[in-house]
Amino acid sequence: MVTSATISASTLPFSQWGPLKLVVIQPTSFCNLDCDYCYLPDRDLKNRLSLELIEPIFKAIFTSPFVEDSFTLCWHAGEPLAVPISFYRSAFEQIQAVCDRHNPRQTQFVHSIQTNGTLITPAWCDLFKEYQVEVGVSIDGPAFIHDAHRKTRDHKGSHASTMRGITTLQENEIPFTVIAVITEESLDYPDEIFAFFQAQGIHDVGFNIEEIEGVNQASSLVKADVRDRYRHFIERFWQLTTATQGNFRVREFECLCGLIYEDTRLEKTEMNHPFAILNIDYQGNFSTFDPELLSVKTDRYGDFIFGNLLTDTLQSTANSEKFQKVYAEMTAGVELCRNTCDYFGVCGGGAGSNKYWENNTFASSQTQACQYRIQVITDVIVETLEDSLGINH
Amino acid sequence: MEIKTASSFAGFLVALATWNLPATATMNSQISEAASLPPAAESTSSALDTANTQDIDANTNINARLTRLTALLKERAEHLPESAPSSGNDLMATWINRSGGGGFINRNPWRNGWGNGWGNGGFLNHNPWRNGGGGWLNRR
Repeated sequence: MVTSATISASTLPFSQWGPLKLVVIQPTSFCNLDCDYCYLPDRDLKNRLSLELIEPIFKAIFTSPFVEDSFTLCWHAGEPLAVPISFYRSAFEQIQAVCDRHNPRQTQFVHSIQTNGTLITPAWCDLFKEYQVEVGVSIDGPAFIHDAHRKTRDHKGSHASTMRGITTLQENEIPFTVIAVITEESLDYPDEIFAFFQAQGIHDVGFNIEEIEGVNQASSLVKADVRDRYRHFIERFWQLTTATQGNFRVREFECLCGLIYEDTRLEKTEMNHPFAILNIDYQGNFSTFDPELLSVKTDRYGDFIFGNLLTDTLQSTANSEKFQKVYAEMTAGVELCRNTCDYFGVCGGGAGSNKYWENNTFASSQTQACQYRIQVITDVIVETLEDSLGINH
Repeated sequence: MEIKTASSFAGFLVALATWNLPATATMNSQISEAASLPPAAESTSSALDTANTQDIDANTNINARLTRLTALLKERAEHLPESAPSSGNDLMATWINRSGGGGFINRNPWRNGWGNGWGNGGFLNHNPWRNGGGGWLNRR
């Protein structure tokens, strides 16, 4: 087992870390919705990233040793459209200027947002087009499922507002993907969810399962019979998806089928590998590993802020006791997964935030989240393809 | 407005797995039948050789089952024709004819490097962060 005592600063494998592929930056901690499964603790506070921090933050990123050819810059960790369009115009121009001046590796980047969609207007679409922003919208399916959890601050459903935003995107020919959270309420309605997406012209969906995480301390998927119901849901969704001959895509299916197609196995993930992901809050504080760690505090580790980009470099903070404890336990957890889990090659050792919130330590292996996100989906796809090929299993 | 997407790995693999192999291809490789049979020493199919050597744990070990699937599906893809057949009622025929034009070869990712067109592969592209922001498909 790797312990923090076994890793000294001089032996930290900087050259093996990164490359940076995703920067998650928090323009505001505030969200205009109050979804009951959200993990973010300060979503009622209207903290906002100062434009004065843009240049030092991005100078630190572009000159770090972890950037290579390209990364995605995701504006998230609060509702990104809760700050004005003018903020993004200024921020995007500043970032491009920093990139033009301080970019020794000619690193490319693309802006993306993950939004609840309720605030999208034609003016936002103009911004998305002008800066080629990739858009992801969170919608859980038809209104009776979505509105059960995704509520406004006065406890009303948000589905109609989200659909107005989606319609605006479509009218302005802005491509988008969708993330849908699966809760217990979803499990009996795969046909209805699929039909809804099809009817709305939504063809690219990623499923997030409701997780025990951050301030969300319970999941409706923990109950005794839910795993079987979840499997039936996935089986049915696989049938519906593959019957479209490629017109509808589910992220989880595509990832697993991509591994089969390439005969590739995972050794790690962005979430458990240092500086593949960089998470920055509205004050310039930064973390790495799983973005869900950025805004939370825990009994075991405290918070996961490793430094501030106004004063620290990414690599300098790796020498801190806090980073080394997290890194050592994260590494130990991945090794435990590698040595004990049959599904390691299609998982890569999972996400630290799931391990902490379910097992109270990163140095652990199986979680309910990985059973649902990885194991059940793998079982369904492998068994279905084997059946089609006449293989006994 | 409905925004169309590109084809999918899942759709292609299912179409391939359920495809009724032409008789000549079946004679050459006997892929579907042999996949469920004991190892055949005289088999000329490298995919089957690979798959059969893993039969010991292929029924229980996920990794071996995935490897076997890859070998068998890839072998099937070798028999895809260069152009769409005029008739056919299986998924593969539908898959071929769906997009119209462009020739059948464009729907065979193993042949035309579809995977390379989706990025450079690697672990980062296969397990995107669950709230990955817009364009998670592009991060593969």
